[in-house]
This record gives sequence, structure tokens and C-alpha cells, in this order.
Amino acid sequence: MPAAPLPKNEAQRLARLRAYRILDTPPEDAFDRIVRIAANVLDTPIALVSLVDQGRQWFKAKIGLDARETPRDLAFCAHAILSDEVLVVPDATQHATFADNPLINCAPNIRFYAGAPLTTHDGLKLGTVCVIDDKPHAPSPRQIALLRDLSALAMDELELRAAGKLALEEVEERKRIDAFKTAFISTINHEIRTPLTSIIGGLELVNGGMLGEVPPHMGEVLTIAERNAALLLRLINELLDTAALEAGQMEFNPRPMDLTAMIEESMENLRSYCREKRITVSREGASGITVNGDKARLTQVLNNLISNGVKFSPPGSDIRIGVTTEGGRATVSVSDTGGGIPESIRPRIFGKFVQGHAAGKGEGTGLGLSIVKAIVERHGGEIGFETETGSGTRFHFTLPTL
Amino acid sequence: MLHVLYIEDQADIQTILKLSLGASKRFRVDVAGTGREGLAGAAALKPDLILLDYSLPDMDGPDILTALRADEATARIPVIFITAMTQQVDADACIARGALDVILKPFSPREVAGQILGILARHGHNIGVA
Repeated sequence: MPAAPLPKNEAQRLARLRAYRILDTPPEDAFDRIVRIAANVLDTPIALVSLVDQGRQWFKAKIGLDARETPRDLAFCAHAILSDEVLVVPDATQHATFADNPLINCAPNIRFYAGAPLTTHDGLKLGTVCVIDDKPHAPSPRQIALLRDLSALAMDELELRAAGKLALEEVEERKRIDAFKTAFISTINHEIRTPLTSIIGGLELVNGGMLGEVPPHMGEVLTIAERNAALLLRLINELLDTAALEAGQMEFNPRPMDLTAMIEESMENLRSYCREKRITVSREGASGITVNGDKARLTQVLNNLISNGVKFSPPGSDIRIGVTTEGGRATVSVSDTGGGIPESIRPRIFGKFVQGHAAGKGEGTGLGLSIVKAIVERHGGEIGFETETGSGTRFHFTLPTL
Repeated sequence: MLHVLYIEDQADIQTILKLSLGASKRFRVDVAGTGREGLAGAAALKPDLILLDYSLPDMDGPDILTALRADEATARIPVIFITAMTQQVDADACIARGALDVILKPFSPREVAGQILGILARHGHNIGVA
């Protein structure tokens, strides 16, 4: 008996079969059920879900047969996958193609065979759902139609299984990427901060005169280096914060905090910067307000808004910080008397890499306000601003009070 | 003079901190480069204060803190963490384990002495305050 010719799209067919990753997998109930029904409907001792691989047919499900696979050159199924229709061989001894097939004269002594191809949505035939008996059969059209339905059902199972596997792999991949991001962010953070500690510390020790008097021209250079090292640190902080926020990995440790104390501390943090720019910062409004917040992150919000105000204000001007409460929410505002936010960037002011007029020339990443907004929102608050060209800007944010 | 043991594996940062605290003339600083050296040093020197890096080659800072607290000779020495691991370190969790506070790297040489004295004063340790 000549072996079945290969389908025209054999290479593509085999590639697809492999892609389902079904070959040599353990038995599964869904496919076992299908062969039980097939054997019942066609009233045969043998029923199989057969996948026609290169050189073999491998059985995903089987009833009435011990072998897990048989050579392809003897397989009836290798013929069944050549047609769209169900291949029905009522009596193999009388069939032109199969009369001399060795499987007729030794186990399983095939007389009757019917195989419905497992056809993918784009017409590739991966194998069959087939039934075999050692007695001839004359199946009814209804039985053949049911066999076709069972093969369609087996194909659906294959698709479902593949989709499920894919989804699982996506979840695994996602987890792997997240773990990488976490490790990447924390490694970069630690590894950059460590040398910066020596650089910033060293420059400050020398330039601060802590190791002896610094000649003026040397001090000028050291000041440039110190300012730029500080800028580098801010850039790294902002880039890492943005990366952590994007990855959903910024840690928040909210605890009841005294809002006024936080504001006072922030004003203290910025005292020398304000003195340098001859700007005063004053606080007015309510006090004794407790909010549930992450102290370090809220301090970051305050520092950012106040230092922005200082950066964009003319020397000698005043920054006012106001606090009001209403209906379980505190509103903190930071008002400056600077030039206002240019109209062109107002709509994007909380976006990433957006820089104000005085910045953009090596003074920042343009990430500060996007980080501030994310932190405020993570605390259940809102942020906004009013600005007028030539007269100043007022940023305000709310926080739920305790 | 406040006798400080600084447990830190980075020699450069050891130097910066020694110079920073030295300039204030209120501190005498010994250093240890590993967790084990730090524990041995703490027991032998009985410093007034231990400054502790969060991550050392042989031990993690919190484990060193636990070991210090478990040894009668070092159990009551105040500990302040100095760390670059800003992403992972929850200051409150460190404090809950028995540290006084956490100072973040990079620290400012001009401010670090004041920061340390401030933390000690807040916790009622009047050592080193002239």
C-alpha cells in the first residue's frame, strides 16, 4: 500500500501542529470525553483523537487501543487529512487504497474506518477524530454528521487550550518583566546614589570650607560642580520616581501626619535656597490638621511646589502657603508672584517632560509636577492651579483629613 | 566627644563621613567595613552611637541591628541607619525594629552632624551635646 501523499501545505501544517504544543502531552478529560462519545455514536470498539505528525500519528485521546502512536505511512488518518470531508471506509478489504494495508491482517484488524479531519479556521488539517472496528460498518449520515461535530468540538478544545496557554504565558511574562523592573529600579537607585554620596559629600566638604579655606576662583569652580552634582541627584530621583510610578511600584506608607508640621519642615528644608534667591516664604490659615499620608512623599510634594515657586519668582518677592479645610478635606495652596505659566504649556503642565519657561536649560527633567500629581492622587486628593501672565501662579492640592 | 562606630563597606563614604563629623569637633569616628567587624567592634569599643549602612557584603543592616540588640554588651547603644536604598527602606519599619531614625544618602557633610545630634536629642540622648 502506498503511503498517503503529503498535503500541499505540509510544512505550514506541521508548524501549526507544533505551535499548539499538544503533541506528547498527558491525556485530558475534554478529549477523552470526545472519543468516548465517538465510540458510542458510531458503535465501534476503537475511537481516537489522532494528530498527524511528521512520520507518526500521535493520539491525544484513545479508546480501545494500547498504542500511544503508530507510523504515519500505515495510518488511515494520513489519508483522512487530505480531504475536507469525513473519510469513510465501510470495509477496508474491499477498498482500492486500503485493501493491502498491513493493519487489516494484524491488530487492530481494521475493517471499518471513519475519520473526520481536525481543521483549523484557515483550513489546515492537523489530524482527525476517527473510529475503527474489526467488522465492516455502514454508518448512517446522522452518525457521520455527529462524527464531524465531534471533530469540530475537539478542534475548539485545541483552540481553547492554546488560548489558555497563551494567556498563562502572558501572565508569566508580565510577572518576569515586573520583577526585572523592580530589581532594575532598586539597583540603579542604590548604585548611582552610592558614588553620588562621595561626589556631593566631597565637593561640599571642600567648598564648604570644612577642610580649610578655599581660594575664591577655586570656590567658583567647586560651586559649579556642586550645583551640577545636586542637579544630577535631582534628575536621578525624578527619573527613578517616574519609573517606579509607571511600574506601579512606588511604595506608600501612610500614617496620620500633622499637615502644618510637614509644611513648616518643608519651609525649613528650603530656607537656604530661599535666602540665596532673597525670597521669603510665609504660611497662613488653619493649623492642627491631621491627614493620613506618607510623610516623605507629601514632603516631596511640598518641596517641589515651594521650590518651583521660588525658582519662578523675582528676587525680593514672597511665596505664600495657605491651608484651609472644608468637608473632610484640607486644601494646601502655594502662591507665587512670578511671571505665570506660559499659555502654551498650561494644558500639559502635569504631563511628563514638560518644562516651564525658566527651566528647560539644564535645570530639570520636567517630571516634577507629574510626580507631584501622582502622589497627591495616590493620597486620594486632587491638584490644580490658577495662573496669570505677569502676576503669578497658585498651585493647590487637596488631601482627605482624619 | 561622641564616640561613633560607622559600619559601612564603602571606603570613600567612610572617609566622607569621618571628615564631615570630624569637622564639627564633636565626634570621634571608628569604622568597620563588614557586619561581623561591626558587631565585634561594637562589643569591644562600646561606642556612644552606631551609624549603620543598610546593606553590607556579609549581613543586612536590620540583621546587624537585631544582633546588636541581642547582645547584652551592645543592646542599649543607639543606632541610626544611613542608606542609599531609598526605594526599599521604610523608615518606620527600621524604627520599629529599634533604630532611632534613618538618614538618606547622599547626606550633606554640612548638615549630617546636626542631623545626628538632632535625632539623638529628640530621643532624649544628651550625649555629645556641648
